[in-house]
Amino acid sequence: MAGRPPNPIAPKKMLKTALPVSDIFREDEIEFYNKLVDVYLEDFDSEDLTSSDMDDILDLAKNRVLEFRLLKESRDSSDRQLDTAAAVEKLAKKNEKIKESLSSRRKDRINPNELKGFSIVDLAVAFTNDKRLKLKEKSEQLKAEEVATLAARAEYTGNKNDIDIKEAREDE
Amino acid sequence: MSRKKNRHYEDILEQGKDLIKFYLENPCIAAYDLLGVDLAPIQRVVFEDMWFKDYVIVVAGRGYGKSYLLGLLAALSSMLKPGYRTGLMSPSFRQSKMVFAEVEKLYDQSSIFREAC
Repeated sequence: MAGRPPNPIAPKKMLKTALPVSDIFREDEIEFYNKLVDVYLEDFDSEDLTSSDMDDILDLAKNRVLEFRLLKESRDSSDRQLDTAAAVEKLAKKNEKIKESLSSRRKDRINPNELKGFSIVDLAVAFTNDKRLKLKEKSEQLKAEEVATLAARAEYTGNKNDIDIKEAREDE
Repeated sequence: MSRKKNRHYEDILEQGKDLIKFYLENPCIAAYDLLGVDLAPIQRVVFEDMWFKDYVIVVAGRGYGKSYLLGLLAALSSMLKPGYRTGLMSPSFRQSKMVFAEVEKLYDQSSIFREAC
């Protein structure tokens, strides 16, 4: 009887309903958590989602909610802000690590042979006289845009006339 | 039949040579066609200087895209210039890694770049 169940629960449903988030979070936090899960899951095809990805998304969304809870609670008191700063930083660091592992697993899934076939040879085949003229036109158009951009910046003086710069020069 | 085929290959080779020449003269169009990168006009001005000149110092504010342009320059030069060797050198390993991360992003988003590697 070991192994996967015949009809495994969908990741989105699992992350939103099967887990006891309502026991951990308040009403407004649950809504925030659900929205975060939606955003994070948009980056994945449901077929690609592994159990590790799901764990990471769960942790990421949970940490974010906790991070905002801490920031909210300490909003009006600078003493509290100092108390929570270390915890917030810890959560932010954890999130960074989670995001790194999510992105590296996603990178591993990219098949280098996918989309193979469209190469520079296809561009060379399509580089006929018509295409050449079109690209030349495009090049001229880009150049004109660049000239206009530079002309628009011609009167920029930078920060050389700032008061503090003058003072610094006088000090020298 | 085979003569026809050979001629076809020769045409493609000839067109390919012209295309590479065009890309070498117009790096911003090459970046768009080969790597799917659409640079802003002011970035194009800087990128063209980086491309055509041997020694360049870019002085720009935070968030301008200096690392990104360096990554793009490294990727495009390696693709278009035969035998070109690219080094990503920085005062610290972390900074080199940042530029290399930009190259990796380009690799992920461009099938032509992946095909060329």
